[in-house]
Amino acid sequence: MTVPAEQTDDWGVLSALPGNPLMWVLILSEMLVFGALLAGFAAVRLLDPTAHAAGQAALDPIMGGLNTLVLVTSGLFIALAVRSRVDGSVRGARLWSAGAMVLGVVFLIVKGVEYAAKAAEGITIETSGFFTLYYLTTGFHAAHVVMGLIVLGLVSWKCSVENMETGAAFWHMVDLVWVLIYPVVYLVR
Amino acid sequence: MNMPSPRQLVFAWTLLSALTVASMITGSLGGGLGGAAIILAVTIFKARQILHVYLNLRASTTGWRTLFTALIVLILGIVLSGLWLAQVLPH
Repeated sequence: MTVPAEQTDDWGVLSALPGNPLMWVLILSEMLVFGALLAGFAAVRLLDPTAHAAGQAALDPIMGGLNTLVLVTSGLFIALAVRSRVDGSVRGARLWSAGAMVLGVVFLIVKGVEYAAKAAEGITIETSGFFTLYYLTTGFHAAHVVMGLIVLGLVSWKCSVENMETGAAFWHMVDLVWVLIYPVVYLVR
Repeated sequence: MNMPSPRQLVFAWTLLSALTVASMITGSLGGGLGGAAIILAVTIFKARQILHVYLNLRASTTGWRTLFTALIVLILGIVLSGLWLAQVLPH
């Protein structure tokens, strides 16, 4: 029996969301996972406020802020890539996407510089509860950036409107999560 | 669905960048619980900009927009509560 196309595209309440509904399920899931990690920082602060304060003081808010600016700018670039593709320009979409990817690499380099500075100070994942969570949270996020770069590479290659929208949604999720991580880890004290 | 124009995207980016710099400055000034509350309120606004403009959630229903905003408020509310409790509880 043939299933009508309109039935196969029916995602229920998820149909009201823009783009690929499964990407929104992923975004919601990732927000819950990273939300739990950020709640963990609140718990660590309660259990050992002194170690938490010392951990935060050892971080450089300028580097974290710089990386926030890098990611929100890459978010603009990938949104413009989608816009270009919708307007019919594959070349424009690929160029904006390449710009977003370059900034993704810049983010990873800045993160690497931060990790190297901490390692030089003898700070590791075992230094304190704060740094255990710091490395888990930022490391897990950095892994998402790497995955995002692969996704953006794939959707730039197979550059349909749907693929570009889906890849961009993943990248915006990575951006969104970092915008939540930055103030909690670096600024709020 | 109705997508944001390049002008709207650039406006959102300008807001996000300016508010990030403002948060960095507020964080460097300290300010205790009040400063933290301002930074987290700004973060809620920034997250909503990414969701509504970059991810075009503004084209969705009120229910979905409310759900995502509520989740962000919950996460950051837990963080602010933790900071407050750490200040008032004896150690």
